[in-house]
Amino acid sequence: MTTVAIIGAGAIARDHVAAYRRIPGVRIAYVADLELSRAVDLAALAGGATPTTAVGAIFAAPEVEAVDICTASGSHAALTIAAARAGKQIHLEKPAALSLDDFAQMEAAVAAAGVSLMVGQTARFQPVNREIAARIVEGTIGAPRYLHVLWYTGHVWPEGWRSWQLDPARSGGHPVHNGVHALDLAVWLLGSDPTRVFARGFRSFAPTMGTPDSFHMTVRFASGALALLEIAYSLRARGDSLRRILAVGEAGSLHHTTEGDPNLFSDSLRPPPQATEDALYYQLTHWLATLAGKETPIVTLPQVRATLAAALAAQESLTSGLAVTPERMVADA
Amino acid sequence: MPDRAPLGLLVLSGVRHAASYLPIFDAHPAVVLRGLCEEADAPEWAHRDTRLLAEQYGVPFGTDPEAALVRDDVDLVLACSEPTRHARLAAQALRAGKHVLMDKPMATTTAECALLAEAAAGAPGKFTIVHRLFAPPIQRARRQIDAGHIGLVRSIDLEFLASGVHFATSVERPELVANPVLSGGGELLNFLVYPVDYLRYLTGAEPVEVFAEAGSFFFEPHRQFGVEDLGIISLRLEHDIIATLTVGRVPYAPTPGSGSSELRIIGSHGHITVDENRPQLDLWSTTTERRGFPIGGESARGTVTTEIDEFIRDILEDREPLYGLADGWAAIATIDAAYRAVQTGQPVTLAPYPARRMR
Repeated sequence: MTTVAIIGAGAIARDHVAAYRRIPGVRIAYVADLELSRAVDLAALAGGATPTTAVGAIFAAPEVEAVDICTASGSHAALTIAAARAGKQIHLEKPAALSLDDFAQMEAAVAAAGVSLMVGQTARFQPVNREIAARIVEGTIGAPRYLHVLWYTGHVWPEGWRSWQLDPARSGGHPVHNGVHALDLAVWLLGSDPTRVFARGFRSFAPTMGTPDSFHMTVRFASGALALLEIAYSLRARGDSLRRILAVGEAGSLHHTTEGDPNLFSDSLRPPPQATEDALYYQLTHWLATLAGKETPIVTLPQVRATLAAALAAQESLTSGLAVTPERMVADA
Repeated sequence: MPDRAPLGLLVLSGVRHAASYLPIFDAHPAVVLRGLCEEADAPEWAHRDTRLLAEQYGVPFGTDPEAALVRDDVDLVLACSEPTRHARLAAQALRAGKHVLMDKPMATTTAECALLAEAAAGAPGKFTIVHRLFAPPIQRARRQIDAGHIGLVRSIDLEFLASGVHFATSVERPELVANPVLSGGGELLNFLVYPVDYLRYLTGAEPVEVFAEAGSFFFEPHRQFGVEDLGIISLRLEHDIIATLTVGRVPYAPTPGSGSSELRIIGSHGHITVDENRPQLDLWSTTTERRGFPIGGESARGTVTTEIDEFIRDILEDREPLYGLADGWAAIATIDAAYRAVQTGQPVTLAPYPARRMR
């Protein structure tokens, strides 16, 4: 039995709790949040967890082996460093940090403490992407040279104008907040680090949005491979979804689109595509298996660093209008 | 058809796509093929290809374009050489007062565009370039946009990929798209005109700024000549519309046919998906590989037939062709900017061109 504490009780933490409830051998001991009422509400769903606003108490609790950090991005660095110093194994929601400097300090802290840090790069655990990765690894299309990832959705930002995700100072901007999903997928599938990023974006529904909710990233990799990564939160109807992935290799192509996939079509529920469902369940199952020494972590810290550097470069590209080299940002850090 | 003499057609250089365009002209009741002509100093293979077509259609083959172009019984010229001679041959035919349909790309440089514009100024003949705007899926998307179903276009994702498995049959000589002496560039020059045309036709907006990445990933001829087989082109159009185009030749495009052409258009009030190969009928058979049959036929084949039909009507009814010199120039200016962006690694602004709002 692995005993976990969840830090943060927002929407994504709720999804984590739902996933943990399906995984045997895990107990949620605490749910922490700055607002006790939110922690109480989520703890009630977590089967006997103790709600708290005292994160320090969690770090001091010897029965807590691991923490799952689900807070807003700006607090990731401090909480990760504190958890590492307390000797806890760590699962951290994406993006890992809002700067490479912060991430370097987080890496140093976990290395010094001898604990593990897994960043929740959920796209890797979506069934369609697991399938594509497996086919690439077995050499079905030869060396992949081009990747096109497209995520279009009809999304409504929670909390309206209070949404921290819309504030680049708190979220890093949308390329950092959600762009890391597609960038991480590209880093993983292409097996290479981004060397140049160019981004264009647009604000779908309100010109004064703090960050474009929709954007295209053109990415060159050290291997010479190219990727086009698109995220658009601009489909009209809430719950609408169009996802497509194309990997072109030297011997063929792998392609999937959700257009035409079987699904439930009903006014009462708009379920996500089957090809991407249950990713968080697979992700947390993998994390717990790595803690038990039964699986090798597939999300490595150098990959997370490369992804974060590219995401920060994409955000800089959106504001400067220029192509940006992630290495330069590493050097700046 | 109007009660008048048929239009006499001269093919000025009959290489590459000429073999696929000629049957369409030949079947047209208002056109009669007068002959094929190749420049005297053209390469030997161009002479051979053009002469072979002449023999196939039982018409004369000549090597003196000037003499062929003064013939009174020639009204219409199909200029269909390798790309680096396109602009010069089309300009020559325009100066001779003929109606001209030329193969794409209209030119391989913006300087050639200016040369062609000079020839077209005051020329009495109608002029158009091969395009694919009459493709039924593109026409349908345009109607949907015009009807206001998706509001204002905000972004377009366009993927236009040819399958390398068909490389040997889709172009008779790989050098025609890979050797810059003949092609003027790589696959961006070869293919990017179509996607740029689509963008301008669907949005009514002109490209303003271009960023591009490209590489030689898959094919030996491209590596040998140092040109790209694949590129990503990111555009900003007027009204801050964003568009990203993936264009090139890959080992296998994600379609059972010779190539894929897909668009995803996001508007302020809805979105449109376009696939020039779909909807399609799937065949699983004990005697052949799995195949797909696009419902309504192959988009690319049908659109050229429609364009030729329409151009002949333009001539007979004195109408302005849908696609003209300014449109071809816009495509070449975009390609020129894309190549400069690849070289500099930064976005570049398009060189000025005489933009014309597409109707």
